[in-house]
Amino acid sequence: MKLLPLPRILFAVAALAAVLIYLIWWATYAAIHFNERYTIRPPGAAAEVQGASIRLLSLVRAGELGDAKGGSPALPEPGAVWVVAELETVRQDPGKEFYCELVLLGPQERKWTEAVDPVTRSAPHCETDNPVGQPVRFESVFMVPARYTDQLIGIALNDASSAARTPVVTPPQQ
Amino acid sequence: MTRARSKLARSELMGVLAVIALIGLSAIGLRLSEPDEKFQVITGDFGEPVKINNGEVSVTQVRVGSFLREDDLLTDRTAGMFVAVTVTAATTGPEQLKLGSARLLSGQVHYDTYQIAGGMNASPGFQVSADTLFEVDPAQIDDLALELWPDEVISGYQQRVRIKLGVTAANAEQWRAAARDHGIEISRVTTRAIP
Repeated sequence: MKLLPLPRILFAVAALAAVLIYLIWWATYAAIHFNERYTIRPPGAAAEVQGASIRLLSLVRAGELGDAKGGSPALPEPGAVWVVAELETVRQDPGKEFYCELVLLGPQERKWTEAVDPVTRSAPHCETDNPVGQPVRFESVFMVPARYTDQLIGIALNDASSAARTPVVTPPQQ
Repeated sequence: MTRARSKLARSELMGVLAVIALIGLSAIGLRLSEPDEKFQVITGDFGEPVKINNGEVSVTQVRVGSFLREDDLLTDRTAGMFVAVTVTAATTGPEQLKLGSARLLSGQVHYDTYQIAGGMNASPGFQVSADTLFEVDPAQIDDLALELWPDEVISGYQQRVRIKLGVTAANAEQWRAAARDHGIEISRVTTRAIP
């Protein structure tokens, strides 16, 4: 039996090593990015996301939510409270849109998504096509177990198109 | 001529090895996307919370009947037997608990879900209770156990909860009798913060 020439063996080993390096890099990248990573902004500071500057004006808890049309107020589920976030956005780049994926961030990266229209509110929702250069205020409502309301961190501004850390805007200090 | 033949043989060998390697990779990929093949079973009994990744699951009620009602209207009838299992899923960990798949087991017999009244998805700190409904053969209900697991497109090593419902060979006849001409009112999904 004739042995394979050394250059060919080295080529095969190099090709295998290249494939392994690629797989290790890919697995490491996937492991890092599989879990959401956050950057907590200073109190009251704005975050830039998809060509818009967004800041959190207030984060208040409420036992019930008033209905702008005069209907019955909305009550949270037993043991929970409403958390109302008032935010302000300034759209700076007309070529980009932030898709309003807002998540309330709590202790140990617990996350709560927005409540789906519990009642009609007077404050507007987040919009993607705001006028450029004008500050626009909007409101987001979340339902959170009462036990976590003293440990809330802020609003995470998710941008699925970016691999960067997700900015979290926090309320100004009282 | 001999050298050329030897070179050809070597290249054919490399081709065969490459094909074998690709088939192996495909097999690994297929195995990873078939959750039925490997999972960790966490067992529990009726009424007791069972701990799984990120939360707890418990069966709080089992009802049987031969027809279904919703808001006092008859919605469905079976020649067999309906089993409604009320499940409570509590998210004690930081990640949302999602239990999208369920089946009922009785020995080698598997019953797929007839209906899940809403998803068993609970945000952190909340617990959700919902009915999972099955249509079963009344003759094959010994040692009924509910199996629940999360929906995953690609799954590695999955955790599945398997909770015994208290139906045994000894009391199966009582369950069959209870189901005859009896209706089950499907309850609505309820959510509350974990007490």
